[in-house]
Amino acid sequence: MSPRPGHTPTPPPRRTGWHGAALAGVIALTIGLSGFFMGLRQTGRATTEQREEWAAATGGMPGPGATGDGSETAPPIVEYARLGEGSLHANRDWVNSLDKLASPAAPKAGYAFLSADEQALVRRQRASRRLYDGAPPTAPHPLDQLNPAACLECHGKPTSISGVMVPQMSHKLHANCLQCHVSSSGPTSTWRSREVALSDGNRFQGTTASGYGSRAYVGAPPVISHTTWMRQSCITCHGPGGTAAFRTSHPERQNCLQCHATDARAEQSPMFARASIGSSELPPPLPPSAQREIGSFR
Amino acid sequence: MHFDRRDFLRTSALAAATAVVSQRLGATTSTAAAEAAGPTTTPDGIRWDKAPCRFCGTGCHVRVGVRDGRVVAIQGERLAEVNKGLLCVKGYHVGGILYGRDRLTQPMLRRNGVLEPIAWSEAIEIIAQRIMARPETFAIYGSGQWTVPEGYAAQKLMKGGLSNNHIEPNARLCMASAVTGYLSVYGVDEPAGCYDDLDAADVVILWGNNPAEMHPILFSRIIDRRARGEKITIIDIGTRRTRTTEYADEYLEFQPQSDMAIANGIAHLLIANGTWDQEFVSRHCNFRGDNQPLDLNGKAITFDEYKALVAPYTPEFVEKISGVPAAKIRMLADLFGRRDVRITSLWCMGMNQHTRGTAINRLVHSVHLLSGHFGRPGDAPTSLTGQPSACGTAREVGTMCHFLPGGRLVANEAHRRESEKFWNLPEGRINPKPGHHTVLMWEKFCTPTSKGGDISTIWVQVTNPGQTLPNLHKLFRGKQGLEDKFLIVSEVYPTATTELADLVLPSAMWVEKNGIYGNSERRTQQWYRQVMPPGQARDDAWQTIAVARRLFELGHPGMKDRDGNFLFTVRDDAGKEVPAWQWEHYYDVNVDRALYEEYRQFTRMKHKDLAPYDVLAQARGLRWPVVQKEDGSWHETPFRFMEFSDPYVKPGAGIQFYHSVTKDDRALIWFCAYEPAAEAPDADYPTWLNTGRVLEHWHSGTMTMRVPQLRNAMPNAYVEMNPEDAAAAGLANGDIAIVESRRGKLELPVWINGRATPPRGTVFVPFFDERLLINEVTLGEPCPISKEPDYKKCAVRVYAKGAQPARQPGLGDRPRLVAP
Repeated sequence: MSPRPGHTPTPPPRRTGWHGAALAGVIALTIGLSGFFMGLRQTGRATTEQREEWAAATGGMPGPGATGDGSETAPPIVEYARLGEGSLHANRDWVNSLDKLASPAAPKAGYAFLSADEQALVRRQRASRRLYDGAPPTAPHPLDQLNPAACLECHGKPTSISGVMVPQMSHKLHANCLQCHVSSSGPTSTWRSREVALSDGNRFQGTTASGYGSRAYVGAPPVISHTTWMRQSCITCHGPGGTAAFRTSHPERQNCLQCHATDARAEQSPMFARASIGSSELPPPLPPSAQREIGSFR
Repeated sequence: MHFDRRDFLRTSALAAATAVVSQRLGATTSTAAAEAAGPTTTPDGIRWDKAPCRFCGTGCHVRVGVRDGRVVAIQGERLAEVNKGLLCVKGYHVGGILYGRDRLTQPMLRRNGVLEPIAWSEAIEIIAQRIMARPETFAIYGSGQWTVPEGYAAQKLMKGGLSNNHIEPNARLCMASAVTGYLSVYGVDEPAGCYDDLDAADVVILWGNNPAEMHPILFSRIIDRRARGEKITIIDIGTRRTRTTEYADEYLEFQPQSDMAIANGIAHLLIANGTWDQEFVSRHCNFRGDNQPLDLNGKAITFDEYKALVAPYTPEFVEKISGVPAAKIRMLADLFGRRDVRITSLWCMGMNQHTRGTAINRLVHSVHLLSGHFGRPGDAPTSLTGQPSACGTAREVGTMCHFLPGGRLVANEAHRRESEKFWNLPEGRINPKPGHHTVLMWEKFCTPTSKGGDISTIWVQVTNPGQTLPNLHKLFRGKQGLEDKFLIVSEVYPTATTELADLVLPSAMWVEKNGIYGNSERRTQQWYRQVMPPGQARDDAWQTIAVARRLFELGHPGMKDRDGNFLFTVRDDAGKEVPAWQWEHYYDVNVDRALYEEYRQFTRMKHKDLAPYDVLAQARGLRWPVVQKEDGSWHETPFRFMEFSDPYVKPGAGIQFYHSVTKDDRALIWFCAYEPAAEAPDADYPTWLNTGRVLEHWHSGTMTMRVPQLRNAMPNAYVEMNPEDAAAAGLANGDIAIVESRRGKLELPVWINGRATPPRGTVFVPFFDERLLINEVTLGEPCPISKEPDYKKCAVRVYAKGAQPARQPGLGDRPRLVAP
């Protein structure tokens, strides 16, 4: 049932003679057409039933990478002719195929540092998905999924799809992903975002990067430059699966907080509010020479 | 009441939690805690301070990050008990609402059809002259987004100053049925429970409610418990499958309006099975039935009469009306019949925007009372609110045509005298006749004066009636062409309302001013101004006071109190009067604090005691009644009427409904008969239209549609259709459908299934999009008691643009069951 609707089988070359070609053509056409109509027939079931089955199968709860074993439990594939409409549903093949995709391999030795321009590009791209540094990022893809299991399928672990890095969740699971994360390109793949009036602008200027991670001296481990609230998993952004500009140079060391300290002033934790914290002022700027030197590490 | 070990543990845990809160409050004078509560500055030069979120009635707190006079970042406030550091996508983006490109920054007057800039002094003069000319035909229309001091100032200007009761909030359109529900069951408004119930409930029943999108923080609070391994059963009684349904254990799809039959069906089974809580009912409840015509307090009935009235509602009968299988009705009744589970019911607009909104509110309370699922943490019927201060301002300050502050009524002489005393007014100043309720006010405004349209000027603050009124053609657009009608709008952005405005006043919003909100769980929240408003935008309360002052100067007698002083006299610490009506002096003192402290004396009659301003300023909101202990510390009350929490309950009473309608400390269990919807699908209009909201947009989208991340996530309205209905109408995704009712029609892009999945014969349209106003299609038919219109549902036909509407004779020519 591999042929897709609209897929016209290519007639084989005339090497085997007219009859062979005709026969092959007829066979191919028959398979194609029957596959097409089987595809149409396959999903006569109502969407609601599909959801119920899936909900029953997953207990309404997500589980990262839970492909399950029962073939009955995965929601049936969406009717081919209607792929472009309605909500898409995760299906067994799709779940499986993700596992077959190669995860990004951790570089064997060290990291190639990005040039300043490359870093700036990455930072700009990152900023474009947030109203301000610390805002929940918007998704650059449509969000059709209702069940958090679907989100976790890609974002539960570092993943790469066709060479695009898929960021892992930086915080613990909150079951309602779509409460905070919305699409930046309209509600679903069925919306033609060019045809709707997207935002016509706003003068809000958020903080684009926190950038107050100070170092005691050149070569000292930098202090964590942002709050760790909702960013509890360092490896998400700084690990091998993270965006290149923010990757650590030493992924083999696992206890990040052993060397990188949080800044209680940045944390604003109620716990530390009564403690006597040093001045709220920024540490004195580093001399330009030191900055240049550090630049390549940051 | 049976109190098992688990109850004891839970109650102890809650008591411990309360104790912690009390300690925190008790220590508010100590420097350390004040530091924790106060603003902080991070090393990047951002100053962070607390504020409640600008959007819904959940009442989350955010931390607002300000640098160089502008909001640059937002965080969830970890000190806030409501949200504990988490926000929803709207909350995270709330800072963006201040900076839309088309922010209104100067007063504008319409001359020859065009809005032209004028000076503030001129604008104030125009309003004052309109009022002086015809004070009795002036009206104010505000909302549950008014801060408490703003609503209080408007209320005082109208009722105390102008002897005019034509003041209404848009909360009439969303909360009025919840108010009449609470009043007729408990004798006093607002829920007894609070959000802590969500941490203790075993079962949460959602009555026509989609909190995964509308109250996401509360919903996450429930489902995150499940993610932590607790067992919590979610039952979604809905008219379409929503994001909430995806997390629900049970989904009961019902025919719109038949929620009344479901509630009666549960009551019937509780009695038939003998599983009602006889001890609770005999100690704490009386029975009530409706009078004809319907009224707020009904008539006393006996238990036997009650039993006979609910007897017809067998599960099979309820199934026939509601479409919910009889087995599921039995399942609900079995749950309510169990003493070992705790059940919390939540609802919002589904039950309130209902032609029998008061009745369904009563019935859900009654099911809880009859089964004894009341009075323990986790056992609570709780209505949620849509606006940040629907409770605090519209309901508690009472900015409605029939209320005075603090739960008082204009029709009650003692209440008027007391209000006059608090306001230091001559006796008889307050008009005893209630003003026009919202729908009537706008109907009169859109009716020519010669034909009895006795409202000539409406001043709109913090709301967008041009988009949110029902039946807009009649109730808003009707103003066009009526030369002597004058519409004043205080706004922050151009809206559907400013389109018809004659005078537009630019307002300060959210953290551009001091403010106080009151959320759904009786929590009052204070914040300070953190950035300056743009251009000439100014506080709404200042606008009200400035007009009052101009009227005072023009010699309006109502602007003086008994001693001849100005109605809004504000004094500094030295007792010297501050000219707060002059903008440059408005922030010389904290006018919010002065108004709030004056209002606070109104709050004690109904035991809704509010904390002093300075105590409130230290907290992340406090739930009233906030009562002072002998040691001087202030304590909030998470659970009302319950002895373990509420200091106003008599020791030993356990539960005491101390504002009981029947004056015997008992709540009322109501019977209200199921009645069909005002308009149901028939052969000509064969489809149910449901309306509602989406996660990303808050109400009419005035603010959220100007934040790129929110707008891009949900850029315009749509009609959500069942795939089979769409196929039958020849419609595919993105096609333009016409949604037409007897009142109007609208072209909308089709989204098959869409964000939720409607059943066959039902479509859904969200109301946030000002370019696609679904309220031109909806029904204006109100609940006769609360006067709240039923926006949620009506009959429509849906067909492809260019095609002819198809009749569905199979549905029969059902008569309209309630006259329009």
